[in-house]
Amino acid sequence: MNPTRSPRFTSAAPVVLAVAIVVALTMPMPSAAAATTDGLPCEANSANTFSLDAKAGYVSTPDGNSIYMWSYSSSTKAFQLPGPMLCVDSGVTVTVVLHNTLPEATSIVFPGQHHQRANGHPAQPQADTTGLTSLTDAAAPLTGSVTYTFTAGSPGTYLYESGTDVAKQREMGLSGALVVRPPGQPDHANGRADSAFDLNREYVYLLSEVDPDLHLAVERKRAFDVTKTKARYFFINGRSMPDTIAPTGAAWLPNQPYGSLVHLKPFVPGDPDSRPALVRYLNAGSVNYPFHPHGNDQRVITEDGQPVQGAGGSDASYDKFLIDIGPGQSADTLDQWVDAEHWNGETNPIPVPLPQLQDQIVGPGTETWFSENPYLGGQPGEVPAGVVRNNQCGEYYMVAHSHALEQATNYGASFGGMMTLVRIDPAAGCPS
Amino acid sequence: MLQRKLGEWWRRGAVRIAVLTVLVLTFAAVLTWRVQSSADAGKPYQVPQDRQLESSLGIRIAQAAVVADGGIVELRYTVLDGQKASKFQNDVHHPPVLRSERRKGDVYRAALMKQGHELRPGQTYYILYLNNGNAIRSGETLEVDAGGAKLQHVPVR
Repeated sequence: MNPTRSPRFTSAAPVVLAVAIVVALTMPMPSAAAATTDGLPCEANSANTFSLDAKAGYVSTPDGNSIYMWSYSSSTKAFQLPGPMLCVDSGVTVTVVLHNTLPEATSIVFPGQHHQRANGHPAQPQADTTGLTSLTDAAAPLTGSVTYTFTAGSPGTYLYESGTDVAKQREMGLSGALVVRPPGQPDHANGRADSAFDLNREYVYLLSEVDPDLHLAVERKRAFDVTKTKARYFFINGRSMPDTIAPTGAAWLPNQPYGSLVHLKPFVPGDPDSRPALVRYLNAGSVNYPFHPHGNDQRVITEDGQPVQGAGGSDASYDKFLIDIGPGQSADTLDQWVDAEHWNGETNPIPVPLPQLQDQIVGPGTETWFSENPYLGGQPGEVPAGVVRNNQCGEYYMVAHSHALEQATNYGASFGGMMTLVRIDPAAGCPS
Repeated sequence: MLQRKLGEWWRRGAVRIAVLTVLVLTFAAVLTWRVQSSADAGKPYQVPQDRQLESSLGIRIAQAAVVADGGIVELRYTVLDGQKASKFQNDVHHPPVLRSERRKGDVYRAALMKQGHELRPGQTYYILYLNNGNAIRSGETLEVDAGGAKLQHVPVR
């Protein structure tokens, strides 16, 4: 030991060690990360080129089932449902290379996009002696591939989906969301100035359904009459309630990466930093999904990639409490919750009277959904047995679900299925 | 004189060494705990099983997870015995209580969600709780207190 350095070392070492202990204690825990749903998990790159594999895999449902699915996945990643959320700017040339690993031919159509080409020639419906075989050029089973190019259409939300044996392959899960943004204005839903939204509060609801009998038949290579499907599971982004409110990238849903919890703060009119959320609805199924966000209307601003406007560009957007999305359709809605009544936990708490017993019972069974917690805290009112009123930090929840209540079930057990929550934090935020 | 100085130097040095030793041991313990926590995060998810709880309630706890950006805790259970499980689910006066094993006094329960008339054996159902005061956190463990039985060390996803 060097005697001249020893005192300096011994006087500095405790400080260094104390700092090291503090740093070690305050380092974020890996398990606690990625717990929020902020922002859209886009797949995007400067070349606007995407490589997708059509492949088979399994998803899980909250009731413990495991279902064989087909879907599109990025070629460098594992199977996922639905396909990746592709984000591009309007007007750019987009290239999508499809690699087929499925046991039958498949393809991708891009409704609403311009100048669609397949392997360099105009994309065309395919036919053989039996009739139409595909709405566009298809990739051969197991090893085939097709390169599609198109010019991205007007800003909005679109499906990309199989154009081959559509009734079966759509049901099997071959679909995804294509988000087209106004060039240079990623924080606008369309070209209109009044379509501005908070980029950290952007969500896709890709709605679909599953008949597990069809999926089992395909897995076991048995015949199945697709005209006799009976949907038992109903998905938002490939998940059913309560998985819909699990984080995006939740470890227990490795093949279903996208959550659908909408997380807001009170909207402050006139504050340039306060912007609404944007919820992009897509129907990838075969029937209408009448989607109902409770407690707060949403403003429909874009339908099927077209701004809702009148002659001369006048604003024709409208508030809706039930967004009824038809098969293949899309709607973009602004979601803002205004604290119009100036709720205050101490001086003006939100009244939460105990509902009548019959109002606490919903559906064909004995289901209840009643949290009875006052927004912003404050003194709680009377609560039903078995329910208390404490929440994380004074936040408030509203249910959003398909109003066709059989679609809000997990194989008949309500509630579940096509249901999620809208969470509204106090204006000051919610400490974690 | 020299002996006194040497003795003083030795005493001061002994105190320094003692302080350093304590700090080094603390640092090592903290580091070990953090590394262990990280390793636990990558482990396969496994919920302990308790025969008493399962036989009295007819359910097996399958998962505890923090969802809704931290505001809600989901408790998932698989039905073993339909009749017992229905009784358990209908007992809204005594739903399971979840307690954090990391911090004291965090006893809470909240929004209760029931499903269906008859619970099917083998099928999984769930209850949602409001996460009172951020009591339950991902990466930690909790205790389920239900029907007089307790299930400890349930990992929270």
